Amino acid sequence: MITIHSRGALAAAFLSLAFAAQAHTTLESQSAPVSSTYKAVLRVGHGCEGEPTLKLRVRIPDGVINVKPMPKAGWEMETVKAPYGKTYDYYGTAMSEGVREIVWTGRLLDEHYDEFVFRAYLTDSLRPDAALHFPTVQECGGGKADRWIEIPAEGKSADDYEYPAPGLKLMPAKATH
Amino acid sequence: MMRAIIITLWLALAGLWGSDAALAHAALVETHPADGAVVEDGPAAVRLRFNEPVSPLVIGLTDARGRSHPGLRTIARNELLEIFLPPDLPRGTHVLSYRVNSGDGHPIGGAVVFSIGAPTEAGNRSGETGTGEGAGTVLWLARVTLYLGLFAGVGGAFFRAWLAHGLPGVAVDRVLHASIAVGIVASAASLGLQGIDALGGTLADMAAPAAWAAGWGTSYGQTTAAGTAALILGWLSMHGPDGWRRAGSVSGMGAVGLSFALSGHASAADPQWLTRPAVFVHAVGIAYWIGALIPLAIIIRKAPGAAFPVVRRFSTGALVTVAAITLAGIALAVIQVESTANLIGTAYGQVLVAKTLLAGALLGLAALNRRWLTPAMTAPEGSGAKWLVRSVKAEIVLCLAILALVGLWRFTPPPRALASSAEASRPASVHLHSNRLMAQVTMSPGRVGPTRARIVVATGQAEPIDAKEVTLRLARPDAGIEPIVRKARKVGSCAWEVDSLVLPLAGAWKATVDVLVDDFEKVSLGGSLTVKP
Repeated sequence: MITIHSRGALAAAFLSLAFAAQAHTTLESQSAPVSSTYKAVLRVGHGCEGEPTLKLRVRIPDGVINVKPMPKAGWEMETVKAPYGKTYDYYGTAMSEGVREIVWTGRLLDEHYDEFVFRAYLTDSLRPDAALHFPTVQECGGGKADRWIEIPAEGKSADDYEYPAPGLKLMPAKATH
Repeated sequence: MMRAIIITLWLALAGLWGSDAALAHAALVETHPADGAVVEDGPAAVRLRFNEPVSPLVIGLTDARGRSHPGLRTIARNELLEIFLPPDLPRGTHVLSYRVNSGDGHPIGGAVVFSIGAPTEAGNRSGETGTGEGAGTVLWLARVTLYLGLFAGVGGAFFRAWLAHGLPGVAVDRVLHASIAVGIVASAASLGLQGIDALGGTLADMAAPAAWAAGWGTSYGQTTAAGTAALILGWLSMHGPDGWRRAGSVSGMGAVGLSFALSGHASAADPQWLTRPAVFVHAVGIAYWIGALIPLAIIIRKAPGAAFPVVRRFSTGALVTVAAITLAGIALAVIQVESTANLIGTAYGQVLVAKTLLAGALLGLAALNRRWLTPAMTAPEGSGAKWLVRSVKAEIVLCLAILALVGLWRFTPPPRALASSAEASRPASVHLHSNRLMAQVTMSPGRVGPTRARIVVATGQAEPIDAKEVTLRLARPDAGIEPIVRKARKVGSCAWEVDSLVLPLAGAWKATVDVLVDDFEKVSLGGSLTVKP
């Protein structure tokens, strides 16, 4: 009986961990090498406390340049451009300003799922083995908002937070040809 | 069985994750009663509506008396969770803490705070404040009548058995029986009255069994039990052989002492090793004295000759008794009043001063009786007996006045208790900080009951910061209370306030302040805050 219990518990734990990713707003691919172009797919599983999502705002962190959001049918898209604060080398071109925030405006019911896509270059100023976060705010009807902006402190993981920012793990750059 | 296994599994999982690992994400949409609500009557059930189906993991209620009720019957139906509450919840603030598992596999926790009648006030639990309209006078009357029954009735039975045995005394027995009977009625009535007082109800609530149960639940329940036992022993000791009468009446006196030592302001004071025995001695001594007065007055008037040795015997015992009463009384007064200024400055002190004056007059009369009036009884043709009767009658009147005054103490907390409640109403505060931000959280008053939290937020370098939102979370994981979450209202450039806050339980609360610095940055600061009872 005990064996059945503990096996069941393991299975349940496994299942719930697998589901964990679906409940938060997260990135589809959660690792990428620096000095490469990353395709970010933001997965939005639900609205805010039952209210439909009306706006999704994504903050582009430092060290991420040349951001190109993918237009989305039924959604208006705008970007906020600003100086990067420093100059990055993009395949030999110096870049000092660009997209710092992407805003999609539309409507996604709480019971529906959708994905929001953009492409970005992860510069070599980012440290491999560190985590990179894209703080995301989900604005909903009724003035509600889910802010996926919690960045885990040293020694903590996204699981320790209620609203962790979507993140990925940075890998060392691939050998250049 | 299957259900039990599933629940066990989820419980195990909840344990694995620990209380901090709050993985989103079903969200609570609505509760009934609403979080923070004050309702007239205790609800039969609390309904929680989530945005998706949930299954209950751990549901518990901490009631207004601080008792926890685990394992409440809960029905989960789609997004709705119905939790059935125990019947007869006391008035005050209750916290329903829940930890549920959402359909997507995440446990989430939280707490719903609601109050029945009115929010819990600090000190309510000790039964020292808050008497319902109209019940006060009746409660006072019941108390004084009970004192009369105990002192005059049981004390009188002792007098009959030990000092005046063998004397015919039909009239005396009639008065004593009546005193005891009235005492028993008053004892029972005061239990119910104490109950409605504890629940904050009115006289009409006496009809409900809850009032009696609540009265029984207070420390006063033991007092009425011992008091009733004393009265019954007193009654029984007036019938039967001499040996039984003596044993019965001594036990009765012991029960009188116990009855007073078991509850009340004086017995509750520290040091208990001193106060409880002092109250016991004080009460037994008074019962000896007051118990003798009515029988003495009757016996002296009816049979002055036979009464003389009785008066002598009483008088000898009274000397020791008066000394004991006085010593115990002074010790208790010193502990309760704390400083002479409180004698005039507080209601308790004023009652004590009045009582001391009357007791002084009583002692004067007693000395008069002993020095002159008792010896005068033997004088031939003297009117000594007549004067002694008058003096004893005056003593009876004085005693009644003293008992009436003492009954008032029920409503006047002693300076000792006032001082500690002033101490308890001081704010509780905690300083939280990280490199990025710091926050000062101040709860005033810093004790159980309705309170207000003020949160001042600044950067790590103590510069002002204009935050977008500030949220306060309070949890008692050790007591099984999940976070009570309140959004703060901005009241100044960097000051925020939460005013609809009721703290249901004393002890160390885990306080977390979430500061939304801008749309994309949130900082959480945590610490511990001690709430006084």
